[in-house]
Amino acid sequence: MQLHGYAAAVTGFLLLIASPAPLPAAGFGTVIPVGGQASDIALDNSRGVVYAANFTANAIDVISLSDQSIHSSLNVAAQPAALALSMDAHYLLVAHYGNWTAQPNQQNLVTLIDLTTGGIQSFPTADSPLGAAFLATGKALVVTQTTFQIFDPATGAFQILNTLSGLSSVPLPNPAATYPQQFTETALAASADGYVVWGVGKAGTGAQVVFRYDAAHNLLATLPALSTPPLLARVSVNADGSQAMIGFALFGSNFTRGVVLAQYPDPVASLNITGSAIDGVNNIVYAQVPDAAHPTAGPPFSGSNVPVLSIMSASNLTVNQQLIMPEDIVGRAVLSADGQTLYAVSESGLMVLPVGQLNPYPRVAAGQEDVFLQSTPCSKGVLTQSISIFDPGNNHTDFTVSTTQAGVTLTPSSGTTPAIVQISVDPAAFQGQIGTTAISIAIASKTAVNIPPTVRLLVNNPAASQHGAIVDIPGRLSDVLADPVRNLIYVLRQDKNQLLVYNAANSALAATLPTGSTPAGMNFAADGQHLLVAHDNSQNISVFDMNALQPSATIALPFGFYARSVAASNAQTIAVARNGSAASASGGSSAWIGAEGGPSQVAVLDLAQNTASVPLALGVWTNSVTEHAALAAAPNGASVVLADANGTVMVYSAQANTWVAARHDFTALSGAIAASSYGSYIAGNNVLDGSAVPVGTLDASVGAAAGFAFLNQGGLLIAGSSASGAGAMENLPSVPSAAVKPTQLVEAPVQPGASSAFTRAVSPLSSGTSIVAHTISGITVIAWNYDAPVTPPSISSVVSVADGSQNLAAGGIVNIYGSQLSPSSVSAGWAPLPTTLAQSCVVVNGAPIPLFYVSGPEIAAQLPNNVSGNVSMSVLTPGGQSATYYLNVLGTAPSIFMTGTAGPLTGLAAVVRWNNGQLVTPTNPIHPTDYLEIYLAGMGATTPAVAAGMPGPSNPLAMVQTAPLVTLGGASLPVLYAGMAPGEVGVYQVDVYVPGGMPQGLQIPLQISQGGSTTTVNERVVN
Amino acid sequence: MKTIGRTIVLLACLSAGCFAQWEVGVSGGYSSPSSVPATSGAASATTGFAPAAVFSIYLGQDVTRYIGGELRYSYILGDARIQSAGTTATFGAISHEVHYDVTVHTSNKNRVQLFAAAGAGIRLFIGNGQEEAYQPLMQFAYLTKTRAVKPMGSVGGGLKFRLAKAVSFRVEVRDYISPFPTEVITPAMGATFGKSLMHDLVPMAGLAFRL
Repeated sequence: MQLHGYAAAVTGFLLLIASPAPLPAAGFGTVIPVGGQASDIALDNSRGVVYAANFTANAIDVISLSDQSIHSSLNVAAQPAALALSMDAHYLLVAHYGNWTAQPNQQNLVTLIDLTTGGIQSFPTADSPLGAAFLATGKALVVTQTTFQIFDPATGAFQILNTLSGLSSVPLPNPAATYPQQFTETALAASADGYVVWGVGKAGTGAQVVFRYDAAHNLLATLPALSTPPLLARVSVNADGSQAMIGFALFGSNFTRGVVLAQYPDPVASLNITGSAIDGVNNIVYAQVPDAAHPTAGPPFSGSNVPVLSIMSASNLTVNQQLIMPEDIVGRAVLSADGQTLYAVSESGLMVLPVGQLNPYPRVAAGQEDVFLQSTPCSKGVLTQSISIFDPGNNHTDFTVSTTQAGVTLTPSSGTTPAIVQISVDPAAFQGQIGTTAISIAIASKTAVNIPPTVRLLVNNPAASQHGAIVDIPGRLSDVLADPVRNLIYVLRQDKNQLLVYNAANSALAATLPTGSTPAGMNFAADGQHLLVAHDNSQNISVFDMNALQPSATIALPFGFYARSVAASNAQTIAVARNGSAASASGGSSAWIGAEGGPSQVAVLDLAQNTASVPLALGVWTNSVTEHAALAAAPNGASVVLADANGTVMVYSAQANTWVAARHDFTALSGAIAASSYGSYIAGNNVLDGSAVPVGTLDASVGAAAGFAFLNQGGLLIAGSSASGAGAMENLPSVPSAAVKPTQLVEAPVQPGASSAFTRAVSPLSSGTSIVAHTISGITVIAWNYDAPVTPPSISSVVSVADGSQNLAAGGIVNIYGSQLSPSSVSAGWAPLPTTLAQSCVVVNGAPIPLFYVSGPEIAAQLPNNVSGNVSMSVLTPGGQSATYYLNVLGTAPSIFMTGTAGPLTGLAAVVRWNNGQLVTPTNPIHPTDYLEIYLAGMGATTPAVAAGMPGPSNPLAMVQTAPLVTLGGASLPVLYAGMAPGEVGVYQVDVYVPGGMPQGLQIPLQISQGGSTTTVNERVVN
Repeated sequence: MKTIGRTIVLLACLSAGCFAQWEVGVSGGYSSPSSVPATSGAASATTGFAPAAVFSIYLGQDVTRYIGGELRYSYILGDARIQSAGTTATFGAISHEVHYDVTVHTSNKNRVQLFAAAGAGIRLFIGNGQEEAYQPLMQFAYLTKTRAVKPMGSVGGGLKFRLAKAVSFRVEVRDYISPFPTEVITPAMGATFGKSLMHDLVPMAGLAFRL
């Protein structure tokens, strides 16, 4: 032990230096240069400073959090590589990397700084220390090139915990542009409670080591790992140590299987750029991980080469927001105790990112992810739709919108948030394209600190003879499945890691459930209750109880396996999982962490134990397939077919409980995959018998088969020849069979892509009412009798949706009743409302109006703002045009929504007490001093004006132009607000105060009068 | 006339404090209020207040060796409720009672005294539960967050046992009779209640301290 001195002596080493001014922020955050290369940081909340280890200047820089400048610098021994601060902020431990090739310069030691006295002590180590972390015990875990040791700062004693050779052997010196953590290749971090330490060693070179130390039980677990690209030495740990973000992967604490809970999709290799911090309180991971979209090759930054901080869910690494930083994160990142500020080692030293206070920073966002425009008989001219551009922090931020697509006009193309941009599409530019064209609308800003999203514009231009109702679902969808029992449709959304559940009765979103990272395929377990979801970036399979619409315990896959396809038979439940090359390269002992594809194997799932195993063989054949293999189970569970992109087809028999057939009759396969209950299979355009022998082909004249669903002895084929063309469907009476006349669909089914060779593009609903197709825009709902002749629509009545009365006002919401009003039941997904749904539209005085919902007997729509008096209405469908229906429209006709529900009570007036947020009823009566929110329709024009189909704005609020008078039992109530309900389309809100002295009773009239019209509901009033 | 005369003398003495035998007491007991039948169409239920604890304090005075008076305050914790076919809906409620009773007792020189009491006062019913838009059994009655003051009669009797010179143990039973508080438990529209009076039988025990 060498005693270097105490506080007074240390003073001489403290070099007060002029604080360099923070670099001007190119994006979000501030950079504090340290005049060297920082290798690690430690946050001392109690003193309001960050300690930065300056690896090349041999100093610890003390950076004040208050003025974000270096206040002092403490000279220490050479190459301070890693820091650890004790939990009570008493000690700062510094690990010095001294792995010099020239022995005289060898300085392997740790420095212990007593922050309360200023005392400094050094303790030599046998080989280079690589990292350290303090524990709840007050001792520290120190990792050297060959050992894990427990260091006691009180005595200076080391106790060897374990040995492990070669955590780093990078010598000093090394060529220029070798960064500090490329030498140490190791990082570790402790949980907030100090009981768990996670780390990684040999990061960046071949075989790596992930380790986890449980201080409470003095247990060290190590996990050999191979990673593509390599995991960099960046570690952040959640509060209880149950999870750690290492490099680009989120690890769970089960080192026996399913260890990678999620990983950042498509990371690219980097020598030094990566960093993360977990906010366990808010379930957030802040991370920079270079990816294909933002490879971040280092400064100077331009184009897509910008440092991007991703704000992700800590559950599955869903990226929710991305911010542009001044420079790259190249080391540890730590979050302040209040979660408001992120401090990270950056290229110049320290970067300070106020992640908890984003609102003051300019950002740009779009109100919608998708805009869907469909040409119909209602809209033969220019198609228009609006999108809102806003700043989430309500700032006035500049923006531009642009597209390269001819025939699409954006007005205005630039401006300041908040703004409404009208998208106009000239159908002439899409002549001949009878399907859907997907167009990107780019949003940019000179000042915004975030990466604005891209809006997808979908232009659908079908002929009247084409069938299907398109339900636009934004995002990257990987699979669509109709529930075999329930009237539900399931959709996997990869970019948001979601299982979307749609109500098949009206195609409305019923639930959104989180999956693991990058859900790739799904199928039901044999019990018909649990839905299994395979992920391309999680080493587990999500399980959902679809009776409860709740997630169940996940199935952990063995080391290194990522499942992409899953299917259940009456015997085994099987998954195809990619496994890279790690198993063979390391004798199967390494956890492979792969961001890319690679060799795959078939795994057998144990649903009782929530585990999986990989059989050595598939019957008499080797267990080896490509990453593009897929599975399909027969509806009766008797068999499972595996089709591989390399042309192999295999059949698993549940009765034999083994693989009974494997053939290679094709050079390549892609497209449809299906299995029947009668021993027939579909792979691509090929029909196979029960021994996987090709016995026929599907009709290829309509394009490549994108999906096939067996129906008894026959089946439904969906195919398409181009993404922007029409789809085609054939209902085959038997398989194989002669081609039948195809029916054109409104858009094309999804086609196999780079990540998925096989698609399930068609799935019949169990109710037998319709067929769901996975198509370009999302899903397309096709009536079961889609090829039956259609008849014209007919209107029987039009009433206010609020109370069923015929008091109709401009801008009001109406229910249109009749017959044949739409070939399918579809709800609009979001505002602004479309003017066409399921190829149905409504014209009022010749102009199409926004639609909420369409079905055969009923349409919900919003009347235009600019009509009054006797107006005409017609419904147009592929079956024709209805007779003209006339209705009387007033300027204002307030109607309180009678659509509230409470328990089994329905039809309640939408009058809400602020006091408890519940509807007023006899058991929740109005009291003196209550504030009430009353929701109505038909209150007419507002200031500012809000276009029909658009939601009410929140800033500024849209106030009604004609003030209402509100009385309760004849006594006036002060009106606090009367205008559109923010975020709602066609819904108005009146807020009132109830003073004392109101009449009491069970049936006190609450009356709202406006512009000569009155609406009344009776409510109970109690003192 | 004789009774009226005695009463006048009693009240005059009370106001003037002309007798020296004052006592204070505390007691606790259990409220067992009667329920009220409710009907809605062909369906029926019972409603009222749940049995609950009672806490009471009083100030008493012996006007003569055999006659006295008590001013009593009681606090009753009894949720409002409706019961029908195995279903119960409850709503937080409490009551405050203040009443004055004339007591007739055996000689106050005896170690054990039997007494009878009768009087009148008021009872404040307070519904203080959390209001919900939907309440089970709301087809019979609405359990309401409000208050209602009702006149109340009190009859009862008991026994006092002197433990020490100035301390007595006391047990008694009272019946508090008041109109049913339909402001707190309101008949639902289309429903009717079968009774308009409520009895609340309260056995109590406590200690009395002679001043």
